[in-house]
Amino acid sequence: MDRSCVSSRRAFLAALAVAPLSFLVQPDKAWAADGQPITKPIPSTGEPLPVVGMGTWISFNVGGDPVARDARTDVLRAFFAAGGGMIDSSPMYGTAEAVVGSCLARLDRPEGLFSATKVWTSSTAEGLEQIATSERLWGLQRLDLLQVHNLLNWQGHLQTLSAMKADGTVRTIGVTTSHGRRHAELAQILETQPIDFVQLTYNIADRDVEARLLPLAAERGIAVIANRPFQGGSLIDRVKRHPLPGWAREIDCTDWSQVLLKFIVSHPAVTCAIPATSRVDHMEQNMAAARGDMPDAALRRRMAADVAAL
Amino acid sequence: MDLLSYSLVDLIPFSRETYFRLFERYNIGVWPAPIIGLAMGLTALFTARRADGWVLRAPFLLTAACWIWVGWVFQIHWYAPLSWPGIYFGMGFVLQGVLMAVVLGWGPILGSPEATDRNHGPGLWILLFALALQPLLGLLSGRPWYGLEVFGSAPDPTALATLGLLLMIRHPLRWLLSIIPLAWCLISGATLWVLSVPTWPVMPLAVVLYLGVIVWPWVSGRSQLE
Ligand SMILES: NC(=O)c1ccc[n+]([C@@H]2O[C@H](COP(=O)([O-])OP(=O)(O)OC[C@H]3O[C@@H](n4cnc5c(N)ncnc54)[C@H](OP(=O)(O)O)[C@@H]3O)[C@@H](O)[C@H]2O)c1
Repeated sequence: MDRSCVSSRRAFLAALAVAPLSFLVQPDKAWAADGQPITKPIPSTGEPLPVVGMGTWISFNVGGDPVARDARTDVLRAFFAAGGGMIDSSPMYGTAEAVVGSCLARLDRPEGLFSATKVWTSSTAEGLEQIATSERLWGLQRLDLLQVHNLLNWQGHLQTLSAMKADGTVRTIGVTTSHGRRHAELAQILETQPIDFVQLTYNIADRDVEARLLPLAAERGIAVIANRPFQGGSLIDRVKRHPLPGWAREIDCTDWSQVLLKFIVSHPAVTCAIPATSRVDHMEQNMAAARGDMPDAALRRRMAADVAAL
Repeated sequence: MDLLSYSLVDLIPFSRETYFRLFERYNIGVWPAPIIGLAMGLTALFTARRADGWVLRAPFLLTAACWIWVGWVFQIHWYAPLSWPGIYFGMGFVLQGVLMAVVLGWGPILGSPEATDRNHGPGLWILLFALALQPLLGLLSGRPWYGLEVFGSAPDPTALATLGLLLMIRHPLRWLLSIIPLAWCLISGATLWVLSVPTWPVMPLAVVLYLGVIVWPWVSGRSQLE
């Protein structure tokens, strides 16, 4: 099997040496023994990021419900206990940012957090207010990643975000899309804009981005976040009706969620996948995908064919 | 906002569990408003059934007050934090309350007995269903009694009861007063469908029934002429 991912410490050193190509650094077996999750470097900074992060769409939009907030705190606790890093949210997700912020505070702001949220408004001026609100809700003075949500007014917001990055008020910037929407425009942005991250939909059943966008991101040194890894839940519900294929054991998968996630994060251009869950057991299953062997190119082809045939 | 690029699923950013918990928290948070709402509904039922002329304004004024409450308190303060369209829903509900109060509460037409040629049949049944049976549908989805949606404080039975009441009167502006309740029935049906709530067809079926009752005399009259 090909370990297409690298350890945090070694990734960082490798990234310093060959920063633009660091995401293609060859696998390193040494790290696995220390129990830490597999990481990949963010191409533009070299900083290692665990290959499985988490999303918050629906799962963390629970409002002021104290019972649900307790349950989400447990989910975040499990995430960080497994070495989780990126949490992705958006002002579009109702109360998700507020809930994440309150859970983080209850967990005494765990180490390793990579905070990623979005700006989602058609007005450039309002974007600044929205970002300030997000910082307040997360309880952070500086966010790690700000993305233009669904390319909404990306021209205006990217100017704001670039200026913020230049003066150090945000660490990295990017754009997002999903469901395969507006890929031609996204390609144009990847070609012309100095962004650190692109977020798009990529999973074993939605693979359009393999043709152009993933190679383009790799070529431009842009980190890729894969959203909707389980197609919002429908993909995993569908495959779970079938027994786990024999090859799943070869890549240390005990559950379909790990098969689906390992398929995504073993693509050389993908930096991390961000499955969303409201359950601790699912979080533990998902985070286990950031451990053990990863599929090589041949097995990835077989995985896709087998899942398509289910 | 680039609304056309969003699908229905994008506009429902919460789970079924969160939606059901919203009503549990809301009913407890605004207590005893659900009981007061239900009492207002029963008063509306009895006055609408028995009265005409001046007294018939009472059920509509009571229901108008409920629309304003549901819009301001439920939609804007409880629902909108979970889902941004709630602000617009809230404004729509308040507008419906004001329209009902102005058109049916103070308008001279309703006051004249000739104008209240009421057909109690389907309207009364819809009203009864909204007041008594619709809240119990929640039990089928395993919801606790304190999380049930009742007339006057929750949007669905309030909208459905309003359609029932509107079928019990004849008024030139009835079509205007039907737009928001009908639209809400479709929005709520779509929301429940996305959340896979088994009773989702109830609200869209109410739209079909309401329009059917209105259109039927016209269609059957025409076919008789032909
Ligand atoms: N345009 C954008 O920027 C954009 C668009 C879409 C998504 N996103 C981001 O991407 C994230 C992920 O996408 P998504 O939330 O739409 O969908 P997803 O992660 O593909 O699927 C989430 C669903 O999968 C279920 N699930 C998670 N882990 C599971 C497991 N181990 N076993 C069985 N079921 C499991 C969850 O249910 P349970 O809660 O029961 O576990 C939930 O219903 C979002 O949360 C958001 O942060 C961004």
